[in-house]
This record gives sequence, structure tokens and C-alpha cells, in this order.
Amino acid sequence: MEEEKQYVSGFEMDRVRLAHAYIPYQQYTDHYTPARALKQGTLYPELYMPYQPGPRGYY
Amino acid sequence: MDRNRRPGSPVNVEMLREIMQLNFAMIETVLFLNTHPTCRPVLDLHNEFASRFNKLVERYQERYGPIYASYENAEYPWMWIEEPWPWEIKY
Amino acid sequence: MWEYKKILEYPANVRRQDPDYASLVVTQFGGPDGELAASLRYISQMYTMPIPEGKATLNNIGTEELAHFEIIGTLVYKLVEGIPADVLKNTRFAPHYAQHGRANYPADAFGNAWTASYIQSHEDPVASIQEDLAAEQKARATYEYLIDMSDDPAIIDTLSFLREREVVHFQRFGEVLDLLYDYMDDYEEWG
Repeated sequence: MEEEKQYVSGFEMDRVRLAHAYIPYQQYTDHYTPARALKQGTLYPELYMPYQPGPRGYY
Repeated sequence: MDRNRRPGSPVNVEMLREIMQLNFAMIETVLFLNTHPTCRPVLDLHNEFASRFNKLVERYQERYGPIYASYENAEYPWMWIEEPWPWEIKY
Repeated sequence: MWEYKKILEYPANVRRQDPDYASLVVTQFGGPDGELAASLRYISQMYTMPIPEGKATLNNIGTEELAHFEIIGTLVYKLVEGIPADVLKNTRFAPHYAQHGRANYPADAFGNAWTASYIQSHEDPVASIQEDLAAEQKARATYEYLIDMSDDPAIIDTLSFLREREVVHFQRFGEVLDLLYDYMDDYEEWG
């Protein structure tokens, strides 16, 4: 389960400030074919986070 | 004025699907490039998708009628109004 | 300006007609976290966004949301197309039929008409982008509730696509937020 989560390396912890929200910047690695991209709703494997019905709080 | 409506223009759902795939791939490269304007690999990818999309749309319009109202090889009579519209097609 | 492409962004189908479900999924047409609100929010905010990455992101995502408005409109249309009034009157769609027939109308699942009060637009770019991040999460959650209530694989397929788009848009707005922090740091230093 844990491996399925999309962790991001290189997030710069030393530049974060209190009372600010941060989303890690995507770094391009790979892409799906256009056919698969349309089917899955994204061109980028690292952003593909399908809904898994069940307890909320993780997707 | 000829008010006899022509039968709806034919659609090629398989070709439309391929157009939708390339259109979507471009939506994704555009959004990525907006926040990563110096990412060369995705810019190359965008150019490749755009080129394939434009060629495919051109071929589709020649055979099945306009996807853009600005299509310049519009035949007589005006084809833009031909049905089905996108929401009327069973994919 | 905008130019129409005579295609849908996603090939939206329904396997069988279902007026009850039409009256629920319509919330993504004209409800508080729906696609109309999303589109108008972003294309209202774009004018005063101070950085070019932010203007482009709001413009392109606002445009895509209008294509999503069309996808939801397609689902509602297909779910009720041609169903006679004496069938509709016994469904959750009856109040909609009473006011609009089978025409699409931007309202929520309770029938409340769309209102600009659903959206906000601030000159302060951090305030606007945080609103947008929240909007994407609320829309994602709404798609999950709607998926939970459907057993039509074709509808679930289309709603899953739209849900994933919320995830991607959230990422892009997050990147714009990061760029805004850099922009404001530079502004403070060099004013």
C-alpha cells in the first residue's frame, strides 16, 4: 500500500515557512501514450491517483 | 432557399476517439508547460502531439466535416450545422 | 476569445437511462463545486494574476472546466433524453421537468439555481489560488460521492476521468502558489 503512494524526493524543507501551504513541484519523468492518458485522466504516471472507495483520507 | 435538411453527416467514432486522445495529451502538455516553461522534453512532446493532432483533424474534416467552424475547405452547403453534435454521439 | 471544437474532451456515455441519477449528477453542472463555477472562477481571476505562469494556468484550466461543463451536460442529456413525462413524474427528476422539461439547467442536486456566490475572485493572488486549490478538492470529493452512488460502469468511467482532472489541476495550482511565493519574495527584496 505504502509503495503506491506518490512520494516526492528533493522537497526543500529549508525554504518552507510557517503558515504557508506547499505542494511539491512535479518533475517530469515519463508519460503515458495518448490513448492511455485519456483513459486514466492524466498524461503523467506520477499524478495518476485513482479513487479507491473505502475509508476516506487517502487517494 | 432549400429547406430540405440533409441527413446528418457521418461520423467516424474511432477517428474521433483518436482525435480526443491527442487533444487530451496536448491539454496535459500545455498545463505542465505553463508552470515548467523551460522543460525541453515536454515541449518536444507537445510539438509532436500538436503535429499529429493537426494532421488527424485535417484528415477528419476532409472526410466528415468541420471540427472547427474556421475550417477553410468548407463545402457547399454549410456543413458546420450537420448533426450529430458531440453530446449526441454514442462513443 | 474562445473557439469551439466539435468534439467532447472525453467520450461520455451512459449504459442505461436514469432520471434519478440525472437529478444528482446535475450538481456538477450547476452546483457549488460544479464545473460552471470552476470555469467562471478561474477565468474571472486571471486578469489580475501577477505572474505569467498564473495567468496561463487560470486561462487553460478555466477553459478545460468549460469542456467538463459540456461533459456533465452530455451525461444529464443522455440520462433523460426522450423519456416520457409520465415516467419522469415518478422520479427525482420530476421537479426539474416541471421547470425546464428535459433541457439542461445549471442547478445543484437540490434544484437551487447556479449563483456567482459559489465563487470568489481576489486581487490578492495567494487568496485566489488557495480558493482554487480548495475548489479542486471539493470537486474531487463530490465526484467520489457521485461514483459511490452509481452502478453504471459508463458513468463511473466518465466521472473517474473528471475526478482525476481535479487531482492534476490541484497540482498545477500548487505549482503556481510556489511561484507566487518566489514572486513575492523578489518583490519584497527589490520592490
